[in-house]
Amino acid sequence: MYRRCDEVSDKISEIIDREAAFLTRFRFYTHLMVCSKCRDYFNQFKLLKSASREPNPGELPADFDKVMGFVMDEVEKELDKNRVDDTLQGS
Amino acid sequence: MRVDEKHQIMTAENNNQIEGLKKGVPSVWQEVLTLNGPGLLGYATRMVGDKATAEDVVQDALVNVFRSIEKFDGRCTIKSWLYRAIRNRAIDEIRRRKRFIDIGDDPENEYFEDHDGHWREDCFEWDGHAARELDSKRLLKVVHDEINNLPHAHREVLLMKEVEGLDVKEICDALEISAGNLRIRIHRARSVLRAAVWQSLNKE
Repeated sequence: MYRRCDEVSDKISEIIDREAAFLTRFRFYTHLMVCSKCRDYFNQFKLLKSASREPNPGELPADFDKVMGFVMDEVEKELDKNRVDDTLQGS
Repeated sequence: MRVDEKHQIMTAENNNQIEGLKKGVPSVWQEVLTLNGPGLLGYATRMVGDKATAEDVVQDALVNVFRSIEKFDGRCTIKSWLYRAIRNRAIDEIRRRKRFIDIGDDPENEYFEDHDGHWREDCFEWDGHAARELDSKRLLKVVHDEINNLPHAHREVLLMKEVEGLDVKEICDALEISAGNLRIRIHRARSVLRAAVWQSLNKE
């Protein structure tokens, strides 16, 4: 079991991202069983992770079609230009 | 399907795409942009802070990607390459508008007693308060607003990891950092975000 709370807090992201080794998880969760502050802190991180993954209710998306339309126009213009250059070089 | 088989199939798909992109096949460009565009646009919007600028950033970056696709060496996925292009162009924009702020100290440094590493008394008082609000739009808004207010170095890792759901390798390739460095940056970013959300909830 981790003895110090600062050791536990260092491991929180590894734990919630499921990147921690078994022994780290064991030492982490046994500390949480006896430390309510670390439990609260851990729960806050989990809560933030879930909330970050939800869409922002107040945000309108940017105009995807407009942007992609512009980029595809540029792509096609450039391709047409290359074709003309190739034709001129070939003639 | 085993992980290495999946990786081989993904690599083959990626190689076919790269070939199509380098030859300038419009349908391949269309496919890649349609697949990645919404995520890139969302990422850019959150990085630069407004839709109109984000649209310009994405347009410029993608046109540059198209013009420099010959330089793509295939050492990362197209997705990482695109995110790197958007990120670099967004940072130029942020620097231009002076929204580029040093990331500062880790707030966690102040939470613990030096001698035994335990929590200081009253270092945070958020327990229960926010948990009750989990489903509320208000909490989501506070969290997203505070992500948008983070210094860009914290914001970019959280946007890629949490909001856009990129995996560790994709983020490392896009940011050109090691997995160890990314782990530290993500933890620091979450820690700063936690402190900011807590302050904001307590102010209301």
